[in-house]
Amino acid sequence: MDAEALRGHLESLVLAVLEDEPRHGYAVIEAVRERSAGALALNTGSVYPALRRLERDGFVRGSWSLVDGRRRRTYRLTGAGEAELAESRQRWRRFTSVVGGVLGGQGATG
Amino acid sequence: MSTAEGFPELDVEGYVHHLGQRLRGPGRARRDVLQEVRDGLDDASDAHAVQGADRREAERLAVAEFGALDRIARELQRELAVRQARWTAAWSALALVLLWLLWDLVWASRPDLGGAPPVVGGLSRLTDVLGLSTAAACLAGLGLLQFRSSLLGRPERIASVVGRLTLCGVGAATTTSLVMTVVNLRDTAAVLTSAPLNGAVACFTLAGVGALVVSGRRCVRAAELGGPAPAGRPTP
Repeated sequence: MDAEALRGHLESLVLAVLEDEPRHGYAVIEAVRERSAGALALNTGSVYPALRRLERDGFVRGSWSLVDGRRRRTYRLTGAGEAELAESRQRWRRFTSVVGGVLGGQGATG
Repeated sequence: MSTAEGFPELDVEGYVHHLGQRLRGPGRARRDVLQEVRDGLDDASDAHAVQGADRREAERLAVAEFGALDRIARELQRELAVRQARWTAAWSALALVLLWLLWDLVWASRPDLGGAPPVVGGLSRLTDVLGLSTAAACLAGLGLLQFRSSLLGRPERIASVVGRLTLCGVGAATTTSLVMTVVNLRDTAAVLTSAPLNGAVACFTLAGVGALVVSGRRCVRAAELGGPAPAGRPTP
């Protein structure tokens, strides 16, 4: 799935993989790839500005820490980030329900 | 179009170097951003190396996957512009209120001086209004950027407004102050030479105004660089 298909969902995906544990930028990219069994390949350079936007909005908090012996900027979800993630999930369910109803209806009769 | 447009064969250091040349903002925040990008590119290079690529090829692949330099620079610059604007707004508000208080104390130290032309009183009030209204507007901008930035589709616009506001407000207040000084030169000289602290306030004022002008200009520049790509130059 290419970057165009992910437009508008990048921030939600990042929040979702930060829900389990704090991660640094590349670990976020890897986590999305693993969770999607390789189907979602994020445009790696877009993840870092997205993390900064989320930090500006107060949805994640970034800090420097040692990871595997290297100093990394890791991000953890905040309370506001958890609420935003829950809201994103609701929006996604509504969207897939509506679009699925249209697409699924045709498939069922075809 | 090449991913690292104009720089098709960049290694990690080269990419970070060119990115750094395009980014403007508070020093520490800029260094943080560049270090994080370098870490990400190193991680991606390591992953390619594990899969069998030699180091040079691994770095080239990592850079190619990272994205167009122009686009990534603009996205990161937008965040740096917000940081610069928060910094500029906070210091402008603080410095302008502090200067207003200090100059009130300075003039209060010589109640015996009372021969100023009537226009000086008006200029004094105008300077106060300009300084304090600029401080209030900067505080409002800071609040927007700090607590409502998610509602701003283009936060660099607010950053630009904060920078221009600082430059205009400080410039106007400085101009009225200078006119007031020239019109009332004798009393001003008497006040500044009557106590070492008063002279120190004058020096602090000059340094503070200079710092605010520099910060305001940086803010405007950072916001411009974080804006949309110029027409006719689509980014991949």
